[in-house]
Amino acid sequence: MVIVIVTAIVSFFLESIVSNFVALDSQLWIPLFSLVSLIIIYPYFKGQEQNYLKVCALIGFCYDIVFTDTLLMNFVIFIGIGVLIQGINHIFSTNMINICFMVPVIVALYRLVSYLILCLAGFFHFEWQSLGVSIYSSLLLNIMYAVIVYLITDRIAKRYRIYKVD
Amino acid sequence: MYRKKRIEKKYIILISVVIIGILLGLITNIVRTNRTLSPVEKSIKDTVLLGNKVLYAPIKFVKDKIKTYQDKQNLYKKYQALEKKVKETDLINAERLELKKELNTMKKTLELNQTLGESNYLNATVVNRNLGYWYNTITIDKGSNNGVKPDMAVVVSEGLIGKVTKTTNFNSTVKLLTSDDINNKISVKIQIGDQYVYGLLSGFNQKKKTFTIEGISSNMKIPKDSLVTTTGMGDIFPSGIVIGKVKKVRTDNFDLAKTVDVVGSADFDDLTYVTVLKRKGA
Repeated sequence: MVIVIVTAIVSFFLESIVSNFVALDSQLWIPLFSLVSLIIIYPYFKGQEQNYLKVCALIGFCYDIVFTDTLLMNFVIFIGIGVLIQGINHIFSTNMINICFMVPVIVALYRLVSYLILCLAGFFHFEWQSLGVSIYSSLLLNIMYAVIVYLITDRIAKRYRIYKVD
Repeated sequence: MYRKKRIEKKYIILISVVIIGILLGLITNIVRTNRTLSPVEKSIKDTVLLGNKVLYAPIKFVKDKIKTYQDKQNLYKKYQALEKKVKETDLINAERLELKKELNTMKKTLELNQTLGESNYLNATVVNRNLGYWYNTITIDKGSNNGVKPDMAVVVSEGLIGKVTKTTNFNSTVKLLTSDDINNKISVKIQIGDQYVYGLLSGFNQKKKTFTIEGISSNMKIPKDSLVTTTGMGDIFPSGIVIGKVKKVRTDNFDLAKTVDVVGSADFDDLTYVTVLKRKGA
């Protein structure tokens, strides 16, 4: 559980710190580390699916309050993504290649859902190009981060014999 | 033994659709309304941002040292440029004092308590940037305890960057001018000699990296590099804050009004220290 807490907290704060170094119109380096951490921490919740969803909800709630000032949006989206990650992990095992596959799927889904909600709320007119740019600008950095964090957590888990689902 | 009544699949789907619909409506309403943060939200946000500030402090220290070193490399060129400006300063100061004297006289005559351009200043540091691609907000380390309120203008030395949208006790969220929000409109004026042309800053073009001013019905020719500033109308932004310079003028689709592309004067990629403007009397 310590590894879960540390990964979630580090990802949350790192997203905030890294955003200070990225250009506002960046086409490649938009961080979504809090979302990526949901993929990394899932294997440590064997038999505790409900606890996993609670953690997703908590991360989404904090994300809402600190980064977006909305209250339910990311709370609900993160729970939905948690359910999706559970579903994907029932089909695929957890390894580095599957992590690289899951990150783009999760990021694309997150961007799509949040963009649709904001369009429904009347903030933007829907544009496929805008959505496409927002998705691909969030991929590279987050895939790199997922791989690095997976390698680190995997090594720690093996060293200290922390049980995780593979 | 009685058999458990199973809910049919179609009812599960119907209930799920209703729940999703209600959630969507609720979320849309929360996102749309200009709500104030509850005390619980404020305390959570302040606590998390304090932790963020502590963690970011050493990184910021190193970043500032690097920037200082880079600035020192160009020191002589900057010194020469500043020397020229210093010679003009005395003249500008004398003119400013004279104008201030005239303004005070006019205020007394017209019994005005304030004008559109007067403000109090509050300096702040950026602690967080939200690059959610549509939010385009930053968080600064001044909040309601420092007198910051929603809808206050936020500037850097080069010009306007945005306005305060939400405040906690010790932090505030600033929505940037580059935000994609279609409701983000500001009344602006373009200086052409001694005259002004008025329009509405309606958005930011991500491709061209320019602001768009619409609704200019005047037939006056607008030269390139004309200065664009706020008008002070609308009770949010004080008058006279620089937004940028004109890059291109074109007519709208119906050939009735002009649309102007403006290059912003502020560097939105390097926002470390900002100033909150509070209109006097507000």
